[in-house]
Formats: sequence, C-alpha cells, structure tokens
Amino acid sequence: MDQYLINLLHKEFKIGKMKLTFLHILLIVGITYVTLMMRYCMRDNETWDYFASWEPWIAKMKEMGGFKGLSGDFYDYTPAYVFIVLMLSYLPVKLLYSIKMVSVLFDIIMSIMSGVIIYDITKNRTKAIGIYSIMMLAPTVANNSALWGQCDVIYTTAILCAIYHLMNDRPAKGMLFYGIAFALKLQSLFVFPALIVLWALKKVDLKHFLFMPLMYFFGIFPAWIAGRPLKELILIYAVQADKSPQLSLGYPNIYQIVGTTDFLEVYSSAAIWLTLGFMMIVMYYVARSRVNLSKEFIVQLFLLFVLISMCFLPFMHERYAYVADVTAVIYGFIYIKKFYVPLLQILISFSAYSIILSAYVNVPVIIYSFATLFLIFDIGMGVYRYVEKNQKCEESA
Amino acid sequence: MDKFLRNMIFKKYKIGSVEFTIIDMIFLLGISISGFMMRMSLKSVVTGDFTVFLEPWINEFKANGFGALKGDFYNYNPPYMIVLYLIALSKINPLTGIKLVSVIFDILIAITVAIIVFNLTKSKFRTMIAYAAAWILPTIVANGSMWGQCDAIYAFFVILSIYCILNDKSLLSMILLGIAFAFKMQALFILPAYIILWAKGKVKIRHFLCIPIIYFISLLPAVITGKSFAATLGIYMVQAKEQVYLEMNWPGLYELIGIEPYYDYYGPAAMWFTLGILMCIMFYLAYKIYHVSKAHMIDIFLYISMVTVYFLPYMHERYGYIAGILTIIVGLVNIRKLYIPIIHVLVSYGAYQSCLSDNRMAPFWIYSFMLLFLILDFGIYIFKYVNANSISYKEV
Repeated sequence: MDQYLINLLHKEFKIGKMKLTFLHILLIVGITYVTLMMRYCMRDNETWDYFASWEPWIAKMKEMGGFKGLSGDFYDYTPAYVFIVLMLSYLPVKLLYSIKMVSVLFDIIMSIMSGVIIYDITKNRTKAIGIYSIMMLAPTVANNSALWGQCDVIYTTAILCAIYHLMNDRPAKGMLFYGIAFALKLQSLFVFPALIVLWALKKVDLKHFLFMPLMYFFGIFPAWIAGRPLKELILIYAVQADKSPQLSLGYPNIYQIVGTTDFLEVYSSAAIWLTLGFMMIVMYYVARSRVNLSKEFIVQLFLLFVLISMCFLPFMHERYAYVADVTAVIYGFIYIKKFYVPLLQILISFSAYSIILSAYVNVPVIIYSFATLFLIFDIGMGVYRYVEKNQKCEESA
Repeated sequence: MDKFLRNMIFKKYKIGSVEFTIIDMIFLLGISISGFMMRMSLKSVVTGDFTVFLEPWINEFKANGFGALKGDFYNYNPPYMIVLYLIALSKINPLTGIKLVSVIFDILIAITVAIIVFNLTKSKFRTMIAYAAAWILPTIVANGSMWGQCDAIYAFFVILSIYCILNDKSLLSMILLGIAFAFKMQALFILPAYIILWAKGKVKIRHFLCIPIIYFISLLPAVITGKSFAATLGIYMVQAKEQVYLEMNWPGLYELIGIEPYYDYYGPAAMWFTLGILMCIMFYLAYKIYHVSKAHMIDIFLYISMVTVYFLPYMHERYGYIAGILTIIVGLVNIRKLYIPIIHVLVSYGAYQSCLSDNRMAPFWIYSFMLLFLILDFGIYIFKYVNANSISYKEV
C-alpha cells in the first residue's frame, strides 16, 4: 500500500503539453489553495488609499452618473485602472473585496507567467512550478494585493509578458505589452533604459516604441469619451510625479543614508540627473560591447535598471520596487546560487511596506539601504562578467 | 607516584561491548556532577508559571484527589496532569517534585542523544561529548530546573521516536510520537519530517494513525473522572488559538517586521505562509530521488523543526527546545557544523532570558537574522547533499 502510494507520487501525468508528476500537481494545487487562503485572511484590511481615494472617487463618479464621472478631475490614478474600478463598483460584491480579487487574480497570472519565463530559459518543469509557488508565497506580492489592495501586479504582469516576448525575438508583441504596462503605471519607465539597450542591440526597432503612446491612448480613451479634457489626461502622469515631503517615502534607498529631509529641493533634481548618469553608464557599457543578449541577460538588465531607479531616484514609494521583487525572484531561479538576491530584495521591500503600513519597523532601515547598494553592486558585477565574456567589440573595457 | 596515577587513568576496562578508560569514566562522572550541580543551583527559582499555574493545580489535586481532573482549572493535557497528581500524592515539595521529573527526563534525553550519536558515528568520544552537551546545555537545564517547565518529557519521546526511525522501527517510532503529542501539542511541529520520511519509505502510512489513537487514549483519564470529551479536546484547541503578539518571545521571522502591527491579518496569513513554505520543502525532498543516509534523516528533522518554529506566528521562547537537542546531534555527526548548536543555543537562551527577566539584552532582530542564516545555510547543505546523492534520471 505504501509503495503503491509512493509510486503514485512519482507517476507522470500528461496535462496539456506538459508531463507532470502527481507530486507536482499536488504542489500546484496545495500552494494555490494555501496562498489564496493567505490572501483571504487579509481581505478586510482597509488602507487610507481606499477610504481617502477610492471610496470618495467612486461615490462622486456615481453621483455624476457613473461613466460620466470619469470626466471629473478629482482622480489622479491612471484612467484605465479608474475605469476598471468603476466597472467593479457595479458588481454585487463589496468594492474593497472586488478590487483585491482583481489583484489576486493577476497574482496567479503573474506567477504563471514567471513560470513560463523560467521554463523557457531553463526547460526545467520543477523550477517553473517552484517559481510559481515562491511568487505566490512572496510576502510583498501577497501583501500588495490582499492587504493593501494595490494593483502593482497588473502592470508587472504586463512587463513580464513584455520580457518574455522580447527574450524570444518578438519585439512587436513585447512592446505591445510594455505599452500596456506604461498605460497602467508611470513607474514602468524604470525599465525603459533596458529597452534602449535592446534597441541599440537590435532586439527592438524604433517603430515598436510607438506602442507606448498607442496603449496610453487606449487607456485614457474611456475617460476621454466621458468628457475629461485630453490635455488633463495626457498630463496625468506629470501630476503624479509631483514632489513629496521626503526624499524617500519608506524605501530603503540611499536617502535613508544621506538623510530624507535635508536639502530636499536641490537634492531631488540633482538625484534625478545622478540616476540618469548611472543609467547612461550602464547603457553605454552594454550597448557599446554589442553583446548577444541572452534571455538570462535580458532579465538581469531589467532587474539592474529597476534597482538603480529604486535606489537613487528621489521620492520612491515602497511599492515601486514591486517589479524589482518579481524580477529578482526570476533572476534567483535562473541562477540558483544567487538565491540571496530575491531573499534580500523581498526583505528590503517588505521592510519598506512595514514602514508605510505601520510606521514601524524593527530593523534599523539603514541596514537595508546598504543591502540595496550591495544588491546593485552584485547584479552589476554579474552584468560586467557577462559582457566581458561575450563582447564582440575589438576594444575591451 | 605520577607514573602510577597516569597509568591508572589510562587503564582500560570493558563494560558490555565498549571499552572505557578510567579517564573516560572520570569525565562522565565529572560532567554528570557538573550538570547536576547546575540544576541544584537553579532549583530555588520560582517563576510565575509555577505560582500562577502549577502550584494551584497541585493544590487542587491535594484537595480533591484524582477526581479533580474533571474540573477546568488546568490547560495541560491529562498525561502531564497525572504527573502532577503523582507529585501531589507524594509528600515531596511541589517545586522540587516538578523539577525532579524534568531532571529525570533530562537524563533520559542525554542518554538517548548519546546513543543516536553513537549509532551514527560509532565514535566513543563523540558519544560522550553528545551526552555531556545534552546534559549541560543551558536551555535544557534552565527549562527544567530553573523554569520548572516540562518540555523534557515530550522532547524525550520525540528524540526516542527519532532514534526508532533511524533504526527502521516505524511503528514504535510513531507510537512514541503519539505519546509526545499527548504531552505537548508542539510535538506536531516535527510531523512534516515524518511525512517526508514516509515518501522515502521509512514510515508506513497506517502508523500515522498512532497519533490520533494515542491522543484519544490520553484524553481518557479526564473523561473517566467526568470531564466532557469536548472540554478535554478543547485543551489543545484553546492553546492553538491566537496569542497577544505575532511572536511570543521567540525571535522568528516576524521580529523583523514588528510583532504588533496588523496582528489580526498577519497572524492567520503567517500560518498559511508557513504551510506554503513547508509544502515547498516537503515537495522538493519527496520529489528528488536520492540515497537517504541516517545522518540525512536527522538533518531533515532538524531542518523542519527550525523552519516551522521560525515561520509560524505566535511562537513562544521554549519552542526551540527540540531543535536545540537536534543541533547537538547534527553538530557532532558533522563537526564542521558545530557552529549550528552554538548559534542556536545562543538564540534560544536569549529568548528564554527575554521571558524570564522580561528584558531583552540584544535586539531580537539580530537573533532573527542569526536563525535565518542557520536556516539558509543548513538548507543549502541539505540541497547539496540531495543533489550529490541523487539516483534518478535527468530532470525534465
């Protein structure tokens, strides 16, 4: 009897195109159930985002006649998502729950997508299912959608789709998804330098970048028909990027080391130029070498640029590292020896969540700031080693 | 004179099938006395657990005899209450009685640990050091002789259960685990390890039934005296309920994020999270086909005991007890891993001190990182072992 059961565990079943053992299926089912329950526990939490933003906005919009409400100028979230939430508010489910359920649904899609990417790179089904499990379990991912009710997972899924297609030499599809990501969140620009490098190394053509304004236009379309002036809609991101009272809004970046409130005005603009400078160094280094971009390297590039943005740009919110968290996990699964990268990144990110959500964190944040710098250095060295090994230009670095 | 003495201490005697020298025996005697005197020094300490819980319970027994079990003044499972009843029956001072019971089980644990280490290393020296370490380990000594707790009882049954499974006695092993569970619910933390070993063919699935059966038997003493089944079952159910903070003095993962904020949400979510982590570990070890050595089985037990206590919320300071004992075995089987018991006992005793003196000398997040380091380091060690001893086909 025992031997029969043990054999059953290792028996392979054909599901679609894949052959999975019973153990694999057990893990997928088990993890999905457990992680959904994890999110279920947190469903009742309401953050200020909800009762200071969504509740009044939806109420006002309904006052203005529902769809017509999109023409109001009181919301500064991306119009595409506001439209989705407005549609959700008509469902017979409590709005708080329905917002979170959309995000949770995308958690699953994103985890599957990361599994697809890992399978594509490693051809190892166990790793693919492993990353699905870890992604669903990841504290920041669960926290973001279930506790906080944010939607960072949606644009991150789009970015993952973009990476997947770009990795496989499908620039049009890749940029389509990136365009969607851009239409949903301004912060998707953090990985834009990677796209410039990809353009320089012939993975993407200039015409593909047109997807960005195209998808952005699709996103603002419902609000525009509802009557909101086009100029406002186009500038909505510019308004979002406005100044804040502190150089770091909770994320352990270098301003936790330098000081978050001194010289705010001057540091903020200097910092943006500094970050651009760093990006330029990396972009220049990679582009001039004319390396062949392997799939793993593309992931690495995306990760590096997000980390640089998070660490050096001012006014970074804790949630902006979401793409970094997700990409770091993918990176960790490609290079198993680098498991500490996603571990550190999620610890750092989660501490940032703690600072904002509970204004309290046990570990001195400065330790995490140094950890962020270490991560950038580590990934950077990885990029360096790859380029040195594979470069095609005559003159070495 | 010197020559005579030196010749004498290195003289060999055969006891059973093992050869001892006089110096060995002096060592064993000496360390036994040391450990015993440690306990004697601590025995006068009276903690809140005694004055608020144990002493009144014993007095209840003194007043009402065995029938007192039907009351609902106690929150330990009947088996330990019977121990208290026996202490009440004897004329012995309650504090001494309670601590004496733990000391007896301390001895049994030390001997069992030594036997396991001998089983795995065949080295007389390491065996004696194992006995010494388990006998004088500060957390074990303080638990029984200072604090008056009884973790030694269930821990003994768990360690004996592990010994049985190392020697392919699956049924006996599960019976012992059942007895351990009947004494303390925390014995369940190590269950995932048994499930992994089942997948490796070391345990028969029907033997798992021992646990609920023995638990059921353990409820009988209370039920016989008149307590309802529901109420007796409720003893453990209530214990499993939420506590005041995300961590109750054990430096687990939640010390890193703060043990008060979002308690209502993070608490239950953390339980599911731990379940998920355990699922991933169980999957990996069950899925990979590799040669399972006895040392590896101990490694699995240690790893599971560390991971469950680190990731579960509401963990109390004493829950590192089993892991502490296992770290001794692991550290002696593989000398290069000696830092594991050292770091673990430092953290564990730090947790004890936090509770006993209500005062934390080191910020707990440092301990939390130390444990995280152990979990990662030992995890990599197990991972490397699995892949080095793999006997299956290529991964698809």
